[in-house]
Amino acid sequence: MLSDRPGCTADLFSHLKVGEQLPTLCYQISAPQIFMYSAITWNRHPIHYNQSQARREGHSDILVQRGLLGNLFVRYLNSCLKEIYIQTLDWKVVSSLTPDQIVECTATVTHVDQTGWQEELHLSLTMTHENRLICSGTVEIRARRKKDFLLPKDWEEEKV
Amino acid sequence: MTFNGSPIKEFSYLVTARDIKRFAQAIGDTNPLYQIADDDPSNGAKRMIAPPLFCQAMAFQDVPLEDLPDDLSPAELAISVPGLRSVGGASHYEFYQYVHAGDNIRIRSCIESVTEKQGRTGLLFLVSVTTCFTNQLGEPVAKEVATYVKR
Repeated sequence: MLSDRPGCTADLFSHLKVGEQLPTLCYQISAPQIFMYSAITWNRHPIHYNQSQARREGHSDILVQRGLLGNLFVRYLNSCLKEIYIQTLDWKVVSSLTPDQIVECTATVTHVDQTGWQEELHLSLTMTHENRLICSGTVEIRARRKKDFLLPKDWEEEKV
Repeated sequence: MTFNGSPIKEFSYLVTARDIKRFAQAIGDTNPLYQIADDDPSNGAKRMIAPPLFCQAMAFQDVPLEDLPDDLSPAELAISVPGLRSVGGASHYEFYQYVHAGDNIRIRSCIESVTEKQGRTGLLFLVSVTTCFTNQLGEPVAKEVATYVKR
């Protein structure tokens, strides 16, 4: 897998303007990663591990899961923006991604709100492979707070 | 096609630090927040948080293969529409708080709608499934509305 490219510029929402594009970062999903993701999510759909079955269903190879594509967006956001809390995330798979294809993720600022007690940032997201749109989405983000790390109140009583 | 919103699955999932580490490895996220410790409470595992989409690791029920649809897609897609094959189409997530190692998460899913649509290659059925995640206090943790395509 390629590592995230350095060069993130947006540490604080206040630096961002509507229409501004965040850095483009590249990712590559391997077949073992697709397998691990199916295993950890207990997703037994064969189009994610059985190449013959995937081809019978009209795909060129096994497919990267929708959920794994969403996680690429999360990794991308955490690489570009520090100390964030994702409030909502939407994404839609537009075309299929197969193992080892390199994708480019980018985001454009659609809304910045610094007027209230809570800074908010809204972005539109795109993921492409060789200029083919794989996934599009939107995200709403706020700054992370210490409170976000607090445990549920009765954790100690659960004894788990 | 309308549905009455009654749950198609409801179960609990006890989150462990090991689950979180494995999920982080599967998604290729090397953030140290998701790598520390194991389930030993003395080394900080209690405070370990999960990546936002860790909910995905909890959402599929542990049913045997024979209880899955013929194409082995998720059990909730075993509904009576003509489509034989399924793919994931879209997701909408709302996150209310982090999931921690040690949380006991209640997962409840229901089918919101099934919409018929004419696709390029024939008839499609868009199946919309809402899943709510709550913790051991009954507090909402996250919500997903997933759309699957059956054709």
